Amino acid sequence: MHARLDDLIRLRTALRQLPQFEPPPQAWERLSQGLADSVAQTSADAGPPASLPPRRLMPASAAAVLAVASLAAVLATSAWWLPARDVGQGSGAAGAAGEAPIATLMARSQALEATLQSLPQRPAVEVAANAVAIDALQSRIRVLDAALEDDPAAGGNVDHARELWGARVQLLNSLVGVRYAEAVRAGYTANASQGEI
Amino acid sequence: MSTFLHVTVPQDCLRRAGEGDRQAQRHLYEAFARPVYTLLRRLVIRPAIAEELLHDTFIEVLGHLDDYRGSGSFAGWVRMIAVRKAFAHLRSPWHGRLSPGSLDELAAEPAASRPHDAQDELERALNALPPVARSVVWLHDVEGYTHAEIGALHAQSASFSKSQLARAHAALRELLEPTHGASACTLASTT
Repeated sequence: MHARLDDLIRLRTALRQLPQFEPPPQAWERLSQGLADSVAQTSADAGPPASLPPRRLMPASAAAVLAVASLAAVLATSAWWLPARDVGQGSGAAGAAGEAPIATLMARSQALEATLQSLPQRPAVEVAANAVAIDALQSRIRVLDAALEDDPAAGGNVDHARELWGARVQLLNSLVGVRYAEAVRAGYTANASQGEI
Repeated sequence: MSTFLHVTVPQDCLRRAGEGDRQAQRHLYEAFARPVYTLLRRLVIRPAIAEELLHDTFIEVLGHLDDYRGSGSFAGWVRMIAVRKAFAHLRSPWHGRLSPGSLDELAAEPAASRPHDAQDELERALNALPPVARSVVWLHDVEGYTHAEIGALHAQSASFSKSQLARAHAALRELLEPTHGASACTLASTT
């Protein structure tokens, strides 16, 4: 009994003695910009969410064309991520994606996330259209994640769950496309098709 | 003991930060950045995610200083916001579909923050725990949360926290035992 107690005390002591982590060096600059954006957003009631990273913008280039096209495609199908009552059954591309089993859509979603993880970090200097498209896509994915958190399939609403997962796959697909175009523009070439950096 | 408890902030600094004084806000950030980031890293592991959550935590802290009523410690209020951010992430399907933290990502840590061997073993064991178990261990053993508080964070009872903690301790003992001799983290078998 005493030995077990000693173990526990030693373990807790060791845990408390683990070193602290140093925050990223540019975190304050980014936060400071985020706070400024937040103030501007509050006053203008517009603009990107404060939690997104600040971005230095430069004139649009060829890569922006893909970003704008992706954003347009997403906006055109934005009804996907609305609650079930706002989405017509079998409407547009949602109907096609809706035919895939949820497990398949989840697997696709996971594979696309893995691809995203394999891409290099966002460049410090960005194309304006890319930044807008990526912000829009990430925002919509967050909305979907919030809806999926309630696990509609567990509540018996399988069709709605399938729609949400289908929408998530398409959004992630668009996000991968924009991020990839951005990465290529920044010099990312090596073995991209194999998901290597 | 929680490193948050060592941080104190002058009332004047809080007031000025609430009024939008960027210098005062920076002072608050610098006072809490390390404990907040460390807590987030312990809960979510992945540096990139922890960085995002660090940003989100301070956006909320500095943007909602009016919400702090002064009934508890300011450090405790900041910590609770960070914990909620981490839990929101851990509960999201986005996190659920992600693979465990990349070893490459973890290896990219600055050399100054790398622990020595015994601590390295403990870190690896801690990181090997499932997210819920790890959060219970860290919040209880290091941050000093009660079982009732941890249970509430998980939308469960205090008993849930107790059983998770007991299982997590057993798992840690098991993970540490084969590789540790007489180091500070050695946990002798009691069986």
